[in-house]
This record gives sequence, C-alpha cells and structure tokens, in this order.
Amino acid sequence: MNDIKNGPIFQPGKKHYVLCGDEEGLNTLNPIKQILTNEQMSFEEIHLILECSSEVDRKLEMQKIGTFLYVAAERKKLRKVLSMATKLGYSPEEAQYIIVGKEEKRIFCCRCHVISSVCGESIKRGILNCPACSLKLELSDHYSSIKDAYLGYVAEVK
Amino acid sequence: MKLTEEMKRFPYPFKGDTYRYTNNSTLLTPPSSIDITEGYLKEIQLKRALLTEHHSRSFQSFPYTNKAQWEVLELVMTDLSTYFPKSFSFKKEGQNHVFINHLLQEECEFKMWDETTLPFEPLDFIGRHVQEDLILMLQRDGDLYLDAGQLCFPANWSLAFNHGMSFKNIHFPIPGFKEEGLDERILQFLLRLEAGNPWGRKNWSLMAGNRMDTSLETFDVWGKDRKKVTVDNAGEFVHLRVEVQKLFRLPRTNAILFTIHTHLLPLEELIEIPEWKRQFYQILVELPSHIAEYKGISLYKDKVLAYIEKKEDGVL
Repeated sequence: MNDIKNGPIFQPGKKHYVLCGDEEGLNTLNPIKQILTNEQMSFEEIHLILECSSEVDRKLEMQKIGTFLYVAAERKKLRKVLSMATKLGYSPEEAQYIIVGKEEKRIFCCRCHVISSVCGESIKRGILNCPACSLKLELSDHYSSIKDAYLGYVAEVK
Repeated sequence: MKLTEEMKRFPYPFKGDTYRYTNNSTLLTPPSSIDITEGYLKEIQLKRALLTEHHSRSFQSFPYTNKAQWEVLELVMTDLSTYFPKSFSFKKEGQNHVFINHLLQEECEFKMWDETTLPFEPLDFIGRHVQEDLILMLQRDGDLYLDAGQLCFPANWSLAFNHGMSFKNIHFPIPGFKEEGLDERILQFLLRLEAGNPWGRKNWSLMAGNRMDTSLETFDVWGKDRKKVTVDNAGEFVHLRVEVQKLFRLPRTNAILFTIHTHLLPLEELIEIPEWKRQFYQILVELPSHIAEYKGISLYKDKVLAYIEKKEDGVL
C-alpha cells in the first residue's frame, strides 16, 4: 500500500486545512488553496523551506481534531514530514502526502535485500537489474514504509 | 487400500467443491500451538541450517518485541511438555528454568526474562526446537504489525521485506483481498482475539517440487520448477502444500503469536483417496484464474488436471 500520492484530491467537510510544502509542493497545492479561498474555509500554510523542522513539528502538533493535512514536497522532505505527522497521530484518513519533483523510487531486491534507487525511464519500464546481485527485478507496487522501498520481484525465471 | 501414517495425519484442507479466500478459522482443539510429526528431525536440521546460513532471511525482530518473545517461549515450552511429555520437559527450579528436548538430546538451563542466559533471542531459540514458523504481531493504535518472526518455510514471501508492516500492508498483493473487504474483516477478527481461546485455519497451494524453504529470496532457484511439470511426472513432482496456521493472544503483552506448520503431500498419494481426488479435481477446475495466478498454479494447472483424468481412466 502506498500512502504517497501523485496529486492532491480535495477532501471536503473538514474544520481546518493545513497546506504544507516546499516551493514546488505549495505550487502543486494551489488548486486546493483556490478551493479553500473561494469557499472561505479555514486554512493555513507551512513553508518547509522557510521554517525549521521544530517549528513545523510544533505547528502540526497544535492542530485540533477536524484538521486535514496536505503535504507536498520532494521525496526526502516528504518522508520527514510524513514520519513526523504519523508520530503525532495523523491517520491516513486525515492527511494526503503528495510527491513532487523528479520521480524516484527505492526498490528492495527480493534476493539480496539491497535497496537501490530508480528514476525516470527505469520506473516506467518497471524492470531493472539489482546493482548488488545483478538479478533482473520487476518493480511491484508492494511498498514498505519502514524501508521506504517497493518490493522488487524476480522479473523472469530462466 | 492401506493408508500411510503420513496420509492419515495429513491436514487435508478442503470442505466443499469450490475454493475462495475466506476467514475459515475455527476454535482450536486441542489448544496446542505446536505439533510434532515424523519429519521432525529432518525439518529441524533444515531450519537450523537456514538460520545459520541465512539468518536475516529467516529471523527478524525489533528490540521492543523482547517481552513478547519471552511470552512465546514460555507458551511453546509449556505446550511442548504438556502435549508431548515423552519428547520434551520444562521444569522450574527456583529462579532457573530447565528445558529438555529429548528428541534432540539437548538441555538448556536459563533464567526467564534474562536474555543473557540464552544463546539466541527467545523467539529464535524456541523456533529451533519446533517445525512451525513463528510470527509475532504486536498490537498498537488499533492495528497489528509484524514486528518479529522466525520464518524458514515461507510460501513465496519475504520476512525481511514484510518486517514492521501492518496486517493490511502485508496482504496488499493478494488479488481481491482488499476489494472484497476481507482484509478489514480478518483484521477485526484478529483484534478481537482473546487470550486462552486460540484459533486455527488451513491454507493451501500447489508446489512444483518438494522444497520446504520456498522463500521469495530463492524464487529464482525453485520458481523454474513450475515449467518442468508434465502430465507424466505430476504425480510425484507436484505436491499439495498445506499450512496449518494457529493464532494465540499472549495475555501479558497482548501480542499475537501466529504459528505456521507446513505439510507437503505428493499428488500421487493425495489421489489414492477417491473423495480427495474427486474434490481436489473439482476445486482445481473451478478455481478462479486470479487465485490460481496468485498461488502460482497457472503454469501447470492443466497438466495436473490431465494427470488426474488419465489416472481416472487408467491410462497412467
């Protein structure tokens, strides 16, 4: 199960919304901001670039029940906020995490357990060789949040 | 017809003439976490070799599982000495505990809850004395997580990858499991498990070959055997693989112990029992393609059916 999405989806009916992201991430959240502004709903923004992580942490911690959280950022920053929000008790139903920037996925080799990064064309093809043991792997959609990696299955049996 | 001891004890898994994913758990009688079969010595030897040569593939644990691991050790040792008193002893002598495995002629003296008195982590230690794989799921925030496990005979999955995952995430690849709401129903069932009332179920698949250690890590080695099945060799080469799975709530830590005992039976023996042959054939004919695909049967299902038909007609 992947809890990271490619784009935000508006979640109506919440008391308050938090839009959190780096520069490109907040741009991605603009359509949501537009809806919230038009509907005159309560929301606030958190700039990940301008604010230190303890401040982000504090702002997320002081939110009340009924808050919906959008986080959009490049992968590493996103993972950091996701981990922080999960620790603070945000459930998957109360938040959306959107990845922006260059698409990159980590893949766990089912044979040797080494995790490597794949991006661009390799993700689209879904087939790559494990750099550690050379096994031809097929990128699956089975995701481990502990390892922040997708399972790579044996692509072909000779 | 003379049935072998192996067949008499084989946990035949089917009830009707069709098969679908369900929560087919029933209350366990007797409530023993462990069973000892005639393959004991051979399987323990294999388990220990795997644990020595491929430890991270066969054992995973988070440090905070230590208390629950001790609970598993105590439960399993108690069950072994209760249900198999000739083969195992478990005595308390003051602070010290003595566990004796008479089958292996091994004796271990240790202090409960003192990890320095055992050669391995408690789950890793007791798992080396039983044929079962032992999975430990800890409960928090209304969910269950696979936080520790000793797994030597997996049916094509990776303990190292699944370590730390929630119940639903682990079962994410099973087709239809989420869509039919089965993942939520089984999770709710597991969350309601009570200490003292263990449950059991059987799961099955077919296997080309007779390997016990069908880990995902070695799929490139054994997966190709699926292409080697023929109508002529299916009887001895293809095996019905049955997992007897048991679920125990641990009263102190509230964790769940999940034991998996894997059994293999060659098709040529399975079809010796006419009712088994008829029912198994019907189930295979009717099996939906997504289930056959997930269980890894698709490549050779037709050959197995043809083998049974030919046997029926007396051709083979």
